[in-house]
Amino acid sequence: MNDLFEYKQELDALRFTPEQKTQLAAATVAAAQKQTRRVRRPIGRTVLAAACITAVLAVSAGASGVLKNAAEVFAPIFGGTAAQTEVIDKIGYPIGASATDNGVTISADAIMGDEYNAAIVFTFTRDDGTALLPEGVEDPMLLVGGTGGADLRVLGGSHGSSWFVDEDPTDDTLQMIQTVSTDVPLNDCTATAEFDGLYRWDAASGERIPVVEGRWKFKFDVAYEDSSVTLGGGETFAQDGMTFTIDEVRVSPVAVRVAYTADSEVQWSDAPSGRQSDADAREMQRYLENVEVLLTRTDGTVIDLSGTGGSMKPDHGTTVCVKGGVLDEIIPMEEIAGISVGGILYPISAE
Amino acid sequence: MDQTQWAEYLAETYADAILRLSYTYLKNTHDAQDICQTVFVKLLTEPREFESREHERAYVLRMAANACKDLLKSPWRKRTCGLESCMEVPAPEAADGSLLAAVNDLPPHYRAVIYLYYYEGYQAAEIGAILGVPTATVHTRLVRGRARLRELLGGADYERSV
Repeated sequence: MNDLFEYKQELDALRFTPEQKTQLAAATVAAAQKQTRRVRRPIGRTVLAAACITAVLAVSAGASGVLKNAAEVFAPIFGGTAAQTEVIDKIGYPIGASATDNGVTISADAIMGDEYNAAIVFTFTRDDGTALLPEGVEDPMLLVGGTGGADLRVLGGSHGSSWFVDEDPTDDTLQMIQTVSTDVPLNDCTATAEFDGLYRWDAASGERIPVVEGRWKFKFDVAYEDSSVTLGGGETFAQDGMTFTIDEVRVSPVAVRVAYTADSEVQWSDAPSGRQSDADAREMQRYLENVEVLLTRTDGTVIDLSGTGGSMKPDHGTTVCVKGGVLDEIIPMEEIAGISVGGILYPISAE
Repeated sequence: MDQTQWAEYLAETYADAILRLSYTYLKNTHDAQDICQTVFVKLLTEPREFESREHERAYVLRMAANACKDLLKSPWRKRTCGLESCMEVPAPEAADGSLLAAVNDLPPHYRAVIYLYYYEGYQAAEIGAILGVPTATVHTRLVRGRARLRELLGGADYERSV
């Protein structure tokens, strides 16, 4: 049992110093005292409107990240009956984008984003007003079948995620947020949303259990205004034996996108398809994953975006890289202090 | 106990256990401070009664496990400390061929049960309560985890009666 003894010894050696524990206690007290409860709420129109206001501020101020007075640009958000997607203050509201099956309606309610990233909000509603979910089922357990969201027919690389938000598991509605990030511009297209059943994950059996059976399919126009601010251009940093030139940094309340060029060309191995080779994984790390991207909020919180998805392609002796994606919460521009890429800081400040 | 004393007690009593559990899940020590702070702040701002010290410890580990699982699920890592003030704790070496290296090759939910069973000394039912899974699931993960370790390490015996 020598191995087990060594396992325990190695873990025994993992400990904070007494000074670190004292620091930890002090930091805990400070954080507890300034804690404000953040509850993940359904992204209703009023919440999106608040983020939209600041997004409009940022865009209308131009490409330098300087913000103007909110009162100059605010406009109320209204529902609409037009046959086409309404675009009001940068948010797109698909109209008539819904389908009903088995007494449940799924609708695409709002889209927000920038040229390469979008967040789409869907609402699931039981039409007779009774509880949508069985007792005890909550949003972290849920998943959908089929495409499970919208296909934006991206003619390029893309990545994304989706999650559910259900403030009241006993009521008749549930919301799902889908994020999409691409390496080609994605606005002004037609999306096809398809869902094949709503399920819950049963950890004990490792299987999905149907919650609502049905098939929903509908199309809607993807049209919204780009809510991003563009920063930077030409700054350089060095790491891993290369010099990186930052081409562009885009920030919006829902997404961050960083484009940069490395001064050497990535060397891919001739591996067959299947599991990525160690050599290719190391190249991914050098060009993509090791480039640190940090978003600092005005309250001092730092969000580490270094592990986001992205793309890289060789280009005549250099490698052009893009990384970024949709944030997991909407952050109004006035709450973003700055973005740093490879240690280069881009502040975002209000006039 | 005032907040400062309570925070000092939590850090003194549970910070190392949370550090080891977060290393087990995340295979790094960088996020341990965040995990500690997440757990401790919640205990300070939402105090609760515990039946015993053992109950308290199991509850703390459960909160830490949930915080680790949240980090694993999300591609966005939020740091609660600024870059300059983050505390660094060197990660173990996990030399090739060692049990720690082999455990690190297992999926996270196997690593967690192996750690709680062999290092913390919990029984399967207790591990199930900490991780929020049925006891049968813990048994399954222990069996599969041990089988995988045997493959990786070439036949060493890690059995112990449950």
